[in-house]
Order: sequence, then C-alpha cells, then structure tokens
Amino acid sequence: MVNMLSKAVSQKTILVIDDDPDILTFLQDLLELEGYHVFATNRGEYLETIRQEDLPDLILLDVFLSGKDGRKIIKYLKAQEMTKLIPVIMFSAYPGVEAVVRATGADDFLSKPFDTDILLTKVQAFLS
Amino acid sequence: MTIPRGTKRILQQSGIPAHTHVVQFSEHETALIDAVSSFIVTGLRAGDVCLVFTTPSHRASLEQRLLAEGINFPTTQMENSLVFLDAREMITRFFVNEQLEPARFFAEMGQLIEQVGQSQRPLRIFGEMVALLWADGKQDVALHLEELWNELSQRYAFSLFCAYPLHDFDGHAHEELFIRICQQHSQVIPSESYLQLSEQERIQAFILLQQKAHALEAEIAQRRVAQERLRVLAAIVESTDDAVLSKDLDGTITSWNKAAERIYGYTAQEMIGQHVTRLFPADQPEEFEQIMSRIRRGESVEHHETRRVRKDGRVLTVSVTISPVRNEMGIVIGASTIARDITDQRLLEAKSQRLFDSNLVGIFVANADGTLLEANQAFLDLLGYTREEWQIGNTQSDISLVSSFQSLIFQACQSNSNVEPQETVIQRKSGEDLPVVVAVACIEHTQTCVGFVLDIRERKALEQRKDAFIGMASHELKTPVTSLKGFLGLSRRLLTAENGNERVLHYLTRMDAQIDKLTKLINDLLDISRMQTGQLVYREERVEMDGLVQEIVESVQETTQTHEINIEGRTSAAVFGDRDRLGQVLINLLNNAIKYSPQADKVIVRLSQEQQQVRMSVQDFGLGIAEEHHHKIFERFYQITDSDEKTYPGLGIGLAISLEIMKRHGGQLWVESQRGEGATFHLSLPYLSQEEEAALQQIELERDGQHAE
Repeated sequence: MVNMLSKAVSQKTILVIDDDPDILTFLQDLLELEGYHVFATNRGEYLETIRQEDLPDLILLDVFLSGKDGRKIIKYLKAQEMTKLIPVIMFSAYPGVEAVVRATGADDFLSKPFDTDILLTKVQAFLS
Repeated sequence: MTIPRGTKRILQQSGIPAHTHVVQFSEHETALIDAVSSFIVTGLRAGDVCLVFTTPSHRASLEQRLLAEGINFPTTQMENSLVFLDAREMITRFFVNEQLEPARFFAEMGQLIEQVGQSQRPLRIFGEMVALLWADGKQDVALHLEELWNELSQRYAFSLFCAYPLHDFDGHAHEELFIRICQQHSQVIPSESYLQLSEQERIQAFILLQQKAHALEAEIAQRRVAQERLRVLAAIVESTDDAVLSKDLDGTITSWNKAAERIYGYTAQEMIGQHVTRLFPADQPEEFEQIMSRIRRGESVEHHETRRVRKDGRVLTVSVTISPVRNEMGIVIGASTIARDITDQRLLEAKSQRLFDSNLVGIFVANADGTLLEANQAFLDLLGYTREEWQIGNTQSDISLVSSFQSLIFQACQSNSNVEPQETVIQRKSGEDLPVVVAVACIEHTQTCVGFVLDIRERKALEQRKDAFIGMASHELKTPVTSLKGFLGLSRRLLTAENGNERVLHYLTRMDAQIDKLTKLINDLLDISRMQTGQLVYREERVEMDGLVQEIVESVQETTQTHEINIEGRTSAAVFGDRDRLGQVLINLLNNAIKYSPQADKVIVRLSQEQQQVRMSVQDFGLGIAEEHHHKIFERFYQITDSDEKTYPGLGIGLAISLEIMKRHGGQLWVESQRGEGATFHLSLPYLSQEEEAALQQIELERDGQHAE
C-alpha cells in the first residue's frame, strides 16, 4: 500500500474502490502513469474510518462490490460534512443503473468496460 | 260401313218406352237378374223380340227365372222371340287388335237386328258388354261402346237395357265416369231398394236421399280436409329427424317412421308387430313396465332420457316423449313415442364438462357486461374463493372479475370472436397479485364468452431467475472484459509513449475493437432479457437528432474501411427520449447494413421530417430480405435461413431490441426490401413541437436554478 503521507503536495490523490484486483491494478497503473497519486482498495468500509488528512481529491467507486453496495457508500459520503464535496465517479457493468446512481449523488458515471481515454478525460475534468 | 236406313222401326212396349237407353245400377246379383227378367218377361208378354247379350252364368239364372214366370222356352226361342248371345264372345267380335272397332260393331249388331227385325215386332236388347268392359277396368272403352249403342239407336228402333254392378264404382275416381254413364242413357234406374217402394214412399225416400246426399257431400268435404291434414301430418312424421313410432298397450309396435329406421337401424317391416323392448338394453328390464303403467293411467312421459340399442348393437342416448293414444271413447289403447337421438349431443356435453372440470386451467363464463355466469374450481382456486363465497350476486368477487377481464370480455363480444391470449395480473381474495395469461372467446351470437385463465406464477418466477442469471452472467463476463480492455489501453499508452513497435500497437487496437464487439454482445443479451420483462430503463431528455446521427455515423465510419456512410438531408428537429438508446438503434441499423452488404461500398442515411415525425432511413445495397421475413426479422432470436439452408451470423436480437426501443419512444421501425436488391430500414419518431420544446426548456431552467442554490 502506498503511504498517503509521502505524496507530493501538488500531486492529486485518487481513491479507487473496486472488488476486482485486476481492475484495481490497471486503474492504479494507468492513473499513476498519468502522474496521480493512487490509493486502491477493495474494502468499501475503508472510507468510514478515513482521517481528514487522508481524504482524496477524487473517488472512483464501483457500484456493486462484493459484500458492499457502492450506492450506500456514496450516500454515506455525500451525507458527511467531511466528504460531501469530494467528486465521485461511479462505474458499473450494468449500464441501466446510471440514472439510479446519479440520483444517489454520483458526480459522473462510466459503464464497464471503460475506454481508458474517456476515463482519463473525466478524471482530468474533475481534478484540473 | 253404313247403317241401312229405312229399317228403323217404332216399337211399342210396356214399362219402358220405345227407343230408350236405360241404365240400371244394381247392388246385388239377384236384383240384376230380377230387373233383367222383368224387362224380358214384360217384352215377351207384349209380343216383343228380346235380344240378350249375357254371361253364361247370368243366362242360366235368367232361364231359371223365366221358367218360373211360365215362359215356354223352346217355343219362344223357336219363334225367335228370345235370343241369347254370349256377351264376351260379342265383345271379341267388335275388337280388332284390342281396339274397339265401330264399323265391326255396326256391322255385327246391324245384321242381328235385321235378322230378328224381320218379324216386324218391337225389339228389346239387354247387353252386359259395357258392364264386362267396366269390370275389366276398360272404363273408356265401355263408355265408347255406350256411345256406339246410342248411335245405333239412330238407325234402328230398340229399347236397350244396360246394367252396372254398383260395387264397381269406387269413390271419387269414378265420379266423373259415373256422371258420363248417366248422361249416355235416356233413363237411369236407381238400385233395387228404390224400386220396391210405393209412390209415397218413393217421394219420402227421394227426399231422404237428397238429404243424405247433402250430408254425404258435407262429409266428403270434411273427409277431404281431414285426409289432407292426415297426409300433411304423415309427411311431417315421415320427414322429421325424430323417431316417431306407436305401439299398443302390450308394447307391440304399430307404426315406425323413416327417422326411426335411421336412428335404430331397423326397417318398418322389421319392427311393426315386434315388441318395443327389442330396443331396450338388457340392464333396464323394469323400464318398459314403469313407462306403460303411467301410459295406462293416461299420463305422458316427457323428455325421458334413457338408452336404447340399435340393430348394430350400438347403445344410443335418446330423449323420449311417450304419450297415451286414446280411442273415440277416450280410452287409452296405445302410446305414441317421439325419440330424439342425443348421443352426440351428450358426448359433446360430457366432453365440455370434462374440459370445464379439468384443473389445468381456470375457466369462466361471463356475459358481455362482465357478470360471471359460471366458473370452474380451478378458476376459483386461482382467485382463492370457495364456491360458496362465489355466488352470483357476490358483488366483491364480481367487481374483481370485471376490473380484471372487462376489456377482454368487451373486445371478444364486440368482435364476436377470440381475443389473443394476454398476460395480466389479477388480485386474489387475499389481496395478493397473481400473474396470469387470459384468453377470452365469444360464443357466437350469444353475447356470452368463455375465458381461460392460466396461472403463470412459476413461469414468471423462472423468468425472474433467468433475468437475475443473465444479469449476473453479464456482470461476471464484463469484469474480465473490463480488465482486458484496461490493460490493453494501458499497454497502448505505454507503447505509444515509448515509441514501441507499430505493428504491436496496431494489433492492440484491433484487439480493443474486438473487445468492444464482445461488450456490445453482452449488452444486447442483457437488454433483450430486460426488455422482455419491461425492465429496460429509459432516460427522458431532449435529443437533437441531426447531431446524434452525425456522431453515430462518424463513430461507425471509424470501424469500417469497406463502406462509406453518407448522410442525406436533415431533420432539424429534436425528440424526447433516451439518447443512448436511440443511438443504439442507429448503430444496429448501420452495422447490419455493412454486415449484410459485403459486396457493396456504401450505405446511405436519409433524414427528413414530415407530419410531426422525424424520419430516418438506412439504405444498403446488399443481400436484401425476402418479403416473407419482413416481419419475422424483428422477432427475438429470429435467424434468416435462405433456400440454401445458409444461416447468416448473429444472435438475432439487434432488430428486436431496436424495434422495442422505437416503440418505447412512440416511433415505428419497418423494412422495405427485396431479395438481392438491398434493404432500406425506415424509422419514424414523433418530434418535439415548439411548445413542447419551450416547456422542456422551462423545466431544465428550473432544475438548473435549484442546483445553483
């Protein structure tokens, strides 16, 4: 795991939550290649114990996680004073859930599988 | 042949005037003999000559009688006063080739008259020839002979006496002939009973006869009416489809109509005189006595349903009505039976009852306003009511039926036919919703219909499991695909950044395109599954059509090197709906156009608007589609197999999804094509009017305003 405290001040931090280790790996590699500081985890409950200083600049969140519903996580995030302003891009293998997901407060949506260019464009849009 | 003139003599005689032609109708032989002998005796005593044409037996009787009257035979015959001739033999003399020959008659009779006339005495003739001819059934010849006699009397003077036995005249058939005989004669003598009366008595008798005649005329008229009625009734009995038979009190059959012959297989000849129990099955021995005891009491047995055995042994179900037959005194003398063969009808009823009672499907019968008339147990079970709870007038249950099936019942009764089976949801007594398939069929011209209700809970549950499965499967499939695509994207980036191998980069691009196809297939499978259960979710937004088409065409163009896609015209309109789904339709049509025109190099997309509709068409110049497939290609999983049994690749779901999307947008999708001449797919969508656009903008402005707060 990457130490969040060791990041450069100017470097943006992205938190990636997905239950598939390969997806986590390529997202981490892709985003790091683009110069972002990435924290990737398959534990949805990670956010419940996160400290103020560890807060990311952007969250990429899978809708259906094993044992955890991404829609509950985003509701929690958007309900917390500390996290509600952090932009969240959600993604899912079910394109049909987009409307539902947006209604829960997601700032953007991507359906799996996603195009790397489109993903990076959306990420840049939130972090520039 | 000429009759010698100048030989005519005027003869004097007692009782009967000269040159008369008398006919007597007699009832008995003795009366005839009496009359003839009296005719002869009177003549002989007055010195007349008598010529008698008779049968041998009558001649014997006459001779006996004349002897008794004291006529000296040998003397009279010697004097040629009395001449007997055989009547039959005479007849043969007048006939040539079985035809009465007038010339012969005049010749023979003239000769005879000449012979006996030499004595210059009056002549009396008794002839039986006409009577014999009459008795032989040659009425016309007899009358002809009478005419010839009359003609002969113009030449010779004689008294002619004819006699007819009255019993040879039967009924109306001889009425006219009888009148003609009377007209042929100058004098008609009634039968003997009349002759024996005194003058006073004759007048009384005459009046009596007149009265009788009137009464008879009336009776004859009545009988004719009655006979006509009987004839009509007999015709009805013979032509009816029901077996009609009669029997006496013992059960012996006395009449048997045509339908009885057909139904029971026995002819009238076989059954008349037979006992009616011949038709009864062996296991109903007491039935005959039960019926007859009621008949003897004067009671009818109506619509009695029972079994009878045909001649061929087949057992029939019949409905019989048996009524007593009474004589003039009102006493029961027998019975009439009308039997209807209801074997087929009962079989049909039994079949429909079995069908009705089957527990496979709920069945109800309702009238046009939705009132329930009948329901089977399966139907009540579906709704969760007991039969007691579901009585006619149970408004609550009626209302639930009306609301569930009213429109189907109405449709069926309106069209007087069947309504396609439809899926619907009915509410059970417990309040629980029950998914069912309902088919309603109108029973022609009755304003009544039968409904069939099938419980599809299990099917629905299965469908849900299938959907859940497909959902899960597509998720499971997409996860590795997402990784694949991700790593591919990452690899391409790294290669590009490092100026890596161009060919490897190209292969990676090709792989990425294949992954996109795989993704599309997975999405289509998911869509088709959702579509079936109406679970597809659509976004509702303003979609500017020209921009969407431009964007889609560009992206599809990127994937093909073989075809050039051209856009002609523009819609200059927007529609309300799901941009991605509408785009999906266009992608489908363009991909199909390219896929099914491998020899062609272009695809044309035409845009226009007309009659509040956005119109779009995609034309290719490929294989084309035979007309028989035009509707089926929009069905799920339909594959065109051509005459060479060649199947074109694909899952057969793209057009089904496209059609569904168009329908959900209130639009239409259809094809125009002929085999070998390419295909044009047309779609039309209702576009947003200016008012609608304005209203939509207002809503969007308000929403943005809220976001700003």
